Amino acid sequence: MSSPRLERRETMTYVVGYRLALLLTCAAFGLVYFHLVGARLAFTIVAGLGAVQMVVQFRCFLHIDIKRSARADL
Amino acid sequence: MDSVAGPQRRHVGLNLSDHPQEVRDVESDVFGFWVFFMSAAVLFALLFAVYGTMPAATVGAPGPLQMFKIGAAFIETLLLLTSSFPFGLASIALKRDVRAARLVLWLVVTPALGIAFLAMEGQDFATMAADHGAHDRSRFLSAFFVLVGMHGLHVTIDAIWTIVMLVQLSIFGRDRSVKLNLIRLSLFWHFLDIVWIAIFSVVYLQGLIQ
Repeated sequence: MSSPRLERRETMTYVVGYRLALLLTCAAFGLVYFHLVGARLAFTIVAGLGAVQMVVQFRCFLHIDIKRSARADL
Repeated sequence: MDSVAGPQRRHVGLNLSDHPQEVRDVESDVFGFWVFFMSAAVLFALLFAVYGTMPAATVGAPGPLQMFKIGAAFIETLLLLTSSFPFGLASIALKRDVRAARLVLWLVVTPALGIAFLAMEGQDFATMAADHGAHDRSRFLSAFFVLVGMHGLHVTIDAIWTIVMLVQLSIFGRDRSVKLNLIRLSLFWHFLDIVWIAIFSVVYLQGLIQ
């Protein structure tokens, strides 16, 4: 495989991870700041968004996936 | 998908070399550090569990609604999440670039954002303490300061470590042990991001939901 292609892919992983992190963070804070939904639902959604963002961080920044290798690390 | 997946990943974090033997050597070194993370994760899990039992234990002292400011928490979150991104770029520069300039640039930006985060957090803590919310006022506040303070302590060590790595980089260049330490350090930054996600979700936002 060509190296520039891998390099681009690796850079994009960080870019995508960062964008997703920003998006999920803004969603969680916006939800609470603007009181968009009731307390109980907000509680669940914030926890859900946090969990999704953790998965994004594991995948994009720590480069852990379930398919290849690194399985023992989990 | 697999055609662009590249060589198999041997360890967590960005695998710097495409050479199987070299990556295998790094694997065991990084795994040791990973075990340390897991113990840190257990520590944070315990602190979260303690905090989770305390929201009502304010004994007359200000609670989450009076203490937490969503604007400050938001900016702190952005600073810390953003600090991880330049470190990702530093990892790529470490792997790809012949010259060290770009690597050094990203390694300066990362702790700068981390220190900005710490400065804001410190100011937050000081405001809370001045506002009848010191750590010894209630069990809730004790649990809060231990949990969030422990994360802040980790970020402090992280920032110092990054500066030490810059010094090592200037003295030794990019030799094997410097590279290895940079891989470990990158894991540390990204790991603390994940802990902070739990903190802003569980502590700040849940505390501010009415």
